[in-house]
Amino acid sequence: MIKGTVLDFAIIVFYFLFILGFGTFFGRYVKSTKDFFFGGQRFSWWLIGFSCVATTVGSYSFIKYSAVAYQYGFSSTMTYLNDWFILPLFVFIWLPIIYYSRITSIPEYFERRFNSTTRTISVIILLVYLLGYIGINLYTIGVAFNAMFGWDVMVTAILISFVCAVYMHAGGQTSVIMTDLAQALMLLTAGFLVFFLGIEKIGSLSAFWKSLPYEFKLPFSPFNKPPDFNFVGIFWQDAFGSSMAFYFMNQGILMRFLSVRSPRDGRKAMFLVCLVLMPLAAFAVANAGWIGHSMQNLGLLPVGSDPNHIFVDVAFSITKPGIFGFIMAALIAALMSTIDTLINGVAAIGVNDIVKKITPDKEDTFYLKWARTISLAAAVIGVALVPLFMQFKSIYLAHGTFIAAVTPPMIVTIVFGILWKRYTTKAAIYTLILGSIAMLISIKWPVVLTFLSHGVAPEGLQYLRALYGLIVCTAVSIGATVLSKEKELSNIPGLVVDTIHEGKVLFKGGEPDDFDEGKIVHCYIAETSEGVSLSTKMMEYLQAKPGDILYIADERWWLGGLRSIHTKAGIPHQGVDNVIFLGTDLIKQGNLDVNRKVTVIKII
Amino acid sequence: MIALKKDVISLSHPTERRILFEIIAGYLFFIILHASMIIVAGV
Repeated sequence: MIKGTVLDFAIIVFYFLFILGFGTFFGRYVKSTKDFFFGGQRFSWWLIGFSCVATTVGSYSFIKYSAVAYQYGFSSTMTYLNDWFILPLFVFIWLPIIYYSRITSIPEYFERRFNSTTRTISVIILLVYLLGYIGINLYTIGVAFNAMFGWDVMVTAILISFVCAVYMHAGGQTSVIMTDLAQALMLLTAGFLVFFLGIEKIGSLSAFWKSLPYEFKLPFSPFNKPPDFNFVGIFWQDAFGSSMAFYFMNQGILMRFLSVRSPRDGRKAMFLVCLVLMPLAAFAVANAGWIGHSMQNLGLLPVGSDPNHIFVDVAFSITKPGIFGFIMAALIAALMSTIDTLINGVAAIGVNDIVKKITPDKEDTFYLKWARTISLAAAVIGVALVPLFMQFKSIYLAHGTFIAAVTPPMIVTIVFGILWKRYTTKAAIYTLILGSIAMLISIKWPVVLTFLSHGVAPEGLQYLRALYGLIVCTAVSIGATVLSKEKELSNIPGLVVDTIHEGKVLFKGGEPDDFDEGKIVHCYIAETSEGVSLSTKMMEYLQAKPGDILYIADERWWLGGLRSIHTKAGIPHQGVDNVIFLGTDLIKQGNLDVNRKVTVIKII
Repeated sequence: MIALKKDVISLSHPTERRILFEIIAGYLFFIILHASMIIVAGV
């Protein structure tokens, strides 16, 4: 049955046009590959936080978590509330490594940490991961639109990938981050709207609560039951496999944290994501399933709905024309905010790890042209992969199986690479190759997962594939390093936990000054021929010395750093305290307005 | 622990001390959140 009305359809078309215009508008800020991939490294923590959540929540999230929530209850939130446990590793070790060593891609990290062979292998694995991720997102939105308008899955996939590719082509990372903000707000609003309209339909919060059985309300599923959604399987697949992959090997997320104006903002963004936005998103994406279960128990929805269609079914039954269109547009927003990140990630790997390797030393405009071309190609390949995912029984299974199969060798290599200085190049190569072979074996012969079953029934064994990968890859990593006669690498500043300080020195070009973060100061601009100079008093407030790296931004916080610049502090002046002398080129580079005050922060 | 052992962070550093505190507070937040969900479910 076709569910959408003409009004719903019109709202979706309006959304497409709005996001297309909004995304392409930021093309004006893209003048180089640095802008295209890293947005000029200028954005505030809240913008990055929202952008990360918009990327995390794909269209599959609404469909998949509503399906799980409909069947198993509040434990569907498990997967979004487990990011916190990896936070110390990310904040203290991975973030400073990627920020100060200025790596542009994970494969580049592999080459600098190990050698070019590891870079090549990781390019292959990452492209499979990113392109597959694009494919599964397009497949999910195709399923939703098929239920809603009766459209063919492939037609929807082609249409949406086209819109994404167009604004990505124009604005790159800046477009991604700015559209992500709009899309994150939209998808969170839609999720909460579904809940409030659902409660209105049911009658009251109390009626909703009473209609659900006790075990449905628990935050965790049983340890090893049911086979397709048990605690141990979800922990290894989602908390280890998906979360680690997302924060440590997803090129899109890496680029997001390289776009942040300072490590301090990166840290704050991560806290915002894990502590506030992910719990909100967990509620937003899953509550249609809880509402659907309740409505079914109360006789407001037919029994035996297809879990994969429950989000659309519930949204349709509780909303009026127009509102339904907004919720479906939010579903598309969730999809597009994920896909644009992935497309940008593929373009970054394509340019930095393939094009620049084959044709080095070209003009930046040459690489920018390639970045845009690869963005379009990534969208096309994503569409071509949709038929592959159509063969899986459920979206949750397709997504989980794919992620768990591809990621463990990369994650283990990255984690050993950043934590263990002794970890050798040979060990990294063996881990990537043998680990990938082991993962393929487990897909062909799932019986190898039996020894890790934890009492989970055979049909749920695929959820333990990530644990299997972790054990095999860890064994290969340790074994190959211990047995290898290779010497410990000495020239890896900033790439291992032991050498982060050296990375800071290289980043700054001098001894880091980060003991005290100092205060944030606000100044009026006085244009000068070149350089930057703050008053002695302001330098004291900032706890800064000449040569320290400063971040200067338009005082309007809501611009999120869109008009800003990084520069080194010059010799302090003795003039008016709240005046900063700023060179014409810096003002132009940062798109700053001389008639407005600027905010100044010491970075390092 | 690794970061402390390798001197990547130091408890004498005011910023790093604050981050550690925030991380621990986050763990407590999630423990309390889940505990309250279990209690509210009707245990």
